[in-house]
Parts: sequence; structure tokens; C-alpha cells
Amino acid sequence: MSDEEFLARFGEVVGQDPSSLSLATDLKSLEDWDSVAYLGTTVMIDEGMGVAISPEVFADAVTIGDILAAARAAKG
Amino acid sequence: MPGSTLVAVNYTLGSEDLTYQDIENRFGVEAAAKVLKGSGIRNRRVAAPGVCGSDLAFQSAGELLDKQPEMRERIDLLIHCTQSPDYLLPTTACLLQERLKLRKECAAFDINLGCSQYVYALSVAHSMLASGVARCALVTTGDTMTRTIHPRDRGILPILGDAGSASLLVPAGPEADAPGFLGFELGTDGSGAKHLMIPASGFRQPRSAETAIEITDAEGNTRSAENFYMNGAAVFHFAITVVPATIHKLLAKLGLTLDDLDLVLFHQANQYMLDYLHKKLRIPPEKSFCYLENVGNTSGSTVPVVLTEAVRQGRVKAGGRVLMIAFGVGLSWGATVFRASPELVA
Repeated sequence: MSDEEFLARFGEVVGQDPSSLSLATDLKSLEDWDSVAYLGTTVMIDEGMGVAISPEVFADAVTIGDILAAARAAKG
Repeated sequence: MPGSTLVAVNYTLGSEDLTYQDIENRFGVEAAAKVLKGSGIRNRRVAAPGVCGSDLAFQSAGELLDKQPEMRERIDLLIHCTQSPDYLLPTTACLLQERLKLRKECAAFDINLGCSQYVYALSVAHSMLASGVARCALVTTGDTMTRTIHPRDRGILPILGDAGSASLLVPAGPEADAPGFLGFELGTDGSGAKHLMIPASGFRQPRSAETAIEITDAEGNTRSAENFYMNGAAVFHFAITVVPATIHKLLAKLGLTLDDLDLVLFHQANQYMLDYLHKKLRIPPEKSFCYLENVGNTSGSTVPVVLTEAVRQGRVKAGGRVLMIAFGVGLSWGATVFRASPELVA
């Protein structure tokens, strides 16, 4: 999944216009980044990349890019 | 060796309503909407004050035996599943044996598991019937897990409900295609025990002034170590990885494919998870059935509840193959496939 595609899908999960997001966006700045969004992100990555990311990723990630990096690392 | 077959199921919900409006009043409009979006649960039923899980099981079994009074004398195995027993001791199943007026030549014991309890109990009852240790089994479930949730935990309170159930099993016929259980697949990953837990609920961490201290997390959920805790993201991850793998493993063991099944019933955890599992496993609507929007996640009773509803709504046909899978606290999971008996759907 490309960076752009990831941001587009992530935008849908958190209800944000993807053009307002970048891989450097701080997750804490997103109003809807919460436990429901965790589920949506898990599904989005499982569907799009075929990998179920560890829930610890959500606790450790600071930016959107951190989540994408973790997903790519999990996929190997 | 003959197996066993399920001949009757019934359930009882808690008598009190905890409605969408109640959640809105308690946690606000936005929070209530978010719960509905994330779980698909609008209303839930909870046990009235003073009612125990065993009372819900007792009512379920009583109604079932009133319809088939001849079975009461035949039952020689009672397995009760609960994580909210009447007492630490004696075993709740022994109390139910007396209340249900079952014969004294009846083995009775509890199974202490959470959401996977029903499939585990079926597997034990099946094994005891198949081996001839028992001739007629009553499997009951009953929990009041809502009592363990902090009233200001907006993450869990709007999800759970209370229920009990009763199921009757007898030995299957000798024919190769006789109705009955075709197989089971069970599993455990204790490394995830911390993700669904009441920390101060036993002897490892006795209740004290310290365990009663309430903490509010970043999302505004309040709880103490004496309350039910769920790491939703971890449980979701567990479910979407273990459930598909377990189903594929069981079907491979039985020489079946999803096409050979007539109905797939999941533990009714939350609708969002169920929708994704249906999609991921490519289970079409005609082979799926859910029942939680106005009931809630009734922990270990969700599978017998959804099975009973599927039977009542004509979704289970005699001779049809039904897969049931339950998963949760432990972490623990179990799946089974059975061919439905005419008695079950009568």
C-alpha cells in the first residue's frame, strides 16, 4: 500500500480529509483518534495489507507514519 | 463409538433494560453514538438486583424441562458454565441440581471460562456421552458480568448484558449421517489473560483499600482493580486472527469447506467485529445470523442465545450443518460443527 493510499484510507477511519493529513501528523492532534479508530485502523490494515498489526502499535505510535511503518514491518 | 446430539436449547435474558437513552443520559450524546457505531449494540438487558447468573440458567432449564418433563429423570450430567458463581464454594452446578430436582445419580460441576464456555462445555458433555459415562446431559450458562463493570466505564458498560441458557444433549444415533456433533477445535493463549480481566477478584490480588482506588483513563473510562477490564484493541486483534484460523483448521479436520455449512454462528462480541469476520471469511448473509443489537454481549451465553434465536427464526434446518465459534477471556476459544437434529428445530 502506497503512502497516499494509506493516508486516504486512514482519513476515512478518523473522519478527516486526507489532504489535511501527512505521515508526520501527530495522532494526538486527531479528535477522533480513540479506541473505535483503533478497530477501524486494524481492519483497514488487515484488509489492505493482509496483516493484523499488534495492538501495542497504537500505544507506541506518535504519528500516522509510525503506524504505517509498523504495518509494513509486520508484513515483512 | 456414538457421539452426541443437541436436542433442545433455551435462554433467558436479564429482566432490566439498559437502553440507548440510558447510555445517552449517562455518558452524553456523542459517546452513545460512538458506542452504537463501534459495537452495533443499541440496548442491552441486565439482571435485576439480587438475580444471579444461576437464576437465569435455572429459568432457562426449567422452561425447557417443562416442555419435556420426561427428560428431568434422564439427566445424569449437569455442566454449568459461569464466571459469576453464586459462591466460591459450593459449586453452582450442585445448587442447580437440587433446584432443578434432578436425580442424585447426576454428575454436576462448573466450567469457569468466559466467552468460550459454551463450546467447551459442549465438548465435555459430548465426550462424556460418547464414552458412555453419561446418558443425558444438561449444559447451562449464566452470568451477570454487568455487575463487575464500573458504572462510569463508558467503554464496557454499554457493551455487556446478562443472560443464561440451557441445552440438552443425548447420545447420537449410530448412522454415519446421524444428527450430532462432528468435531471440536479448542485453544488457549494465556499470554493474553491480562486483556480481559478483573485483577482483584480472587486470591492472587485480594481486595483492599488499594484495589478500590478508582482511576480514569485518557478516554474517560473510570474503573478500579475490582472492575472488569477489557483491552478492546487487543481483543479485536485476537479475534480477527484466531477466529478465521480456527474455523479453517476445524473444517480441514472434518474434510469440509465453508460451502458445506448452512449457518455460521459467532460469539456475539460486537457487530463491527462480526461484520468484519463475515467479510474476511466470505460468509454470505444467508449463512450468517446475529442477535445482539438489543441484547448486548452476554459473555458466555451469546452462542446459546444466538443459536436459540436462529432456531426460533427458522434459520436452522434439520440435518443442516451449523458451525459455532466462541472466543474471549483467557484468552480461550472453541469451535464446533454439528448436524442439527429434528428435535432441536421442532
